[in-house]
Amino acid sequence: MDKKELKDVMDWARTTDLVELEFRRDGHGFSFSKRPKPQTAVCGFPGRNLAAVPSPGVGVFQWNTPGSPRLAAEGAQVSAGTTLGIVEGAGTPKKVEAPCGGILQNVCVDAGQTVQYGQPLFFIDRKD
Amino acid sequence: MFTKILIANRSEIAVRVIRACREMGIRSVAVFSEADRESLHVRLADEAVCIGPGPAAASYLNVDTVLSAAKVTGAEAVHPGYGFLAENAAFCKACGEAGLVFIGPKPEAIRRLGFKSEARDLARKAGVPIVPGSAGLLAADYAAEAAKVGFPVMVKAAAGGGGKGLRLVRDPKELDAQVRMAKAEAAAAFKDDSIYLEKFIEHPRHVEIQVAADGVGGIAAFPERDCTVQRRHQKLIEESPSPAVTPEIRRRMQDAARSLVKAAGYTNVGTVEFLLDTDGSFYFMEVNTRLQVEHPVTELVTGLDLVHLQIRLAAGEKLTFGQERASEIRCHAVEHRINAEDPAHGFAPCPGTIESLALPGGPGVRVDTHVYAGYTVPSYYDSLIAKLIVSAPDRDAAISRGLRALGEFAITGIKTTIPFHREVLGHPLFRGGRFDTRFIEAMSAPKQPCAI
Repeated sequence: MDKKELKDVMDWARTTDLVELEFRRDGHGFSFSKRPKPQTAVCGFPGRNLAAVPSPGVGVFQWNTPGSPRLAAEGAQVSAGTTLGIVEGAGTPKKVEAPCGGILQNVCVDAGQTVQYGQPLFFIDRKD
Repeated sequence: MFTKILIANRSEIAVRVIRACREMGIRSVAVFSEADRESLHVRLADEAVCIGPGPAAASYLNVDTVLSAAKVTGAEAVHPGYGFLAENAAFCKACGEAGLVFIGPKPEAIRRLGFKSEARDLARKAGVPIVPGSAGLLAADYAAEAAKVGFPVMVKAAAGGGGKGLRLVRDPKELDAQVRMAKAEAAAAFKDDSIYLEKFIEHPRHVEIQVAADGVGGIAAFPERDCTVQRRHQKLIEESPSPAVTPEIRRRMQDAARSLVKAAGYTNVGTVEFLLDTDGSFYFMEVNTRLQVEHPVTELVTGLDLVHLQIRLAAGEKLTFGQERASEIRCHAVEHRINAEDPAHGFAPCPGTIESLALPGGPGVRVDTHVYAGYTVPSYYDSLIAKLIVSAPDRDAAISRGLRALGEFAITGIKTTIPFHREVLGHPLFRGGRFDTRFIEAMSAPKQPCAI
């Protein structure tokens, strides 16, 4: 059977409610299935090399002090110690600093949101 | 009345305050360190905020962080519990500045009464008897002062507490060395090396009066609590009424406490501590400007709820009862502090995981605790894991009930002071009510082997 014949068979099969078809003659043949292959769900969690950036304190998250430019964006390359934002509460605002270098992923916070100590604000893909 | 209160504390006292809030229809906010994520107070509160890592200096003692938690949750008032920031005048003031009501006295009152030498001066002026001692802080001529007071003398830190900066001097020759040591200890513990002298009383009892004041003339002094059973200045058993206090002594003590509260302009609840001598004379020691660990004893004896009262007074309500009601003694109550400590090995702290827990119950038994089976006692904080408070019509019945309840109290996985409490309740000196603050040291001294 050549390609064209096979195509004819498959085109015909598509018009029917056949799910599987197997054909054999002289030890040769073909089989196909229209049944969708069971697929493993794509894991919703990002890769395993992610480092969480926890909130350094209790307060309101801001990207930067008022009037200053936003320092961090999803997908940006950051290095250890890069300031990613600030947490404003009573007393001096606390800097949110990257604990390691990598690509900033999964921004879990936005300006004006209240955060507590240790709450993950970002994840950094360490790429190592 | 407030709609939301933040509880700036942990453990059983946080649970106690959350319960009062719920009963009063007030929303509660718990704060917790990373070491307390599994604590009962976090689960019971309406909201909970993680404020820092395990060490208290970075969490429960951090004023800015606690205030931030109050701000982000919209709390209107802060209950400080006991310990941590409860007697910190700066925190109390900062609450006011942040628009929060501090559930306790005013910062000036905390400052005035928290500094012991000032509190003594205030007591003297209010006509409250004080232990003979140096007039104010100790200067260079302390040897003459000590001779005037008469040996034995006690050297004490002005900013002291918990037995730090405390030195007994029996021999005048030791005075120089002990004063130096007390100063060094005080400087290390309180960043303040001011000290003063007091006459040492040989057989003192620690008896205290719970007070409540509304700031507009209403002052109530409740029946005394006897906290004589102590180990290294840490209270272990508290009872009310005291087996050593007669109605006449009680009345004089309550009058003294009321005068001091009035003189200090004190508001909300507090406790005036006295040393009671064997001849019935008593001397002012200090004022605790907060709710105390042993407050349930007074709650059971009087049938009043002190945490409800604290919150109501902080919200500006007046006392709804007079001294006559406050003086009512409705039962005898004894509190046992159950600590995660090994009494067989010098009361060494025993943090760890509680494998199983069966709490006592039945008539006259109350347990205030934040622990449960599976809970891990963290090593960062004090070792109190539960308070067992029993009440009965009289002292003998309370002791029998205490023994019964301690027998039911089953906890595995960690060592606790439960066996120690049973031993004290069975001791003839305790049963007879004739003991002083050195009772535990005497009881724990190595026993003579039995001659068979």
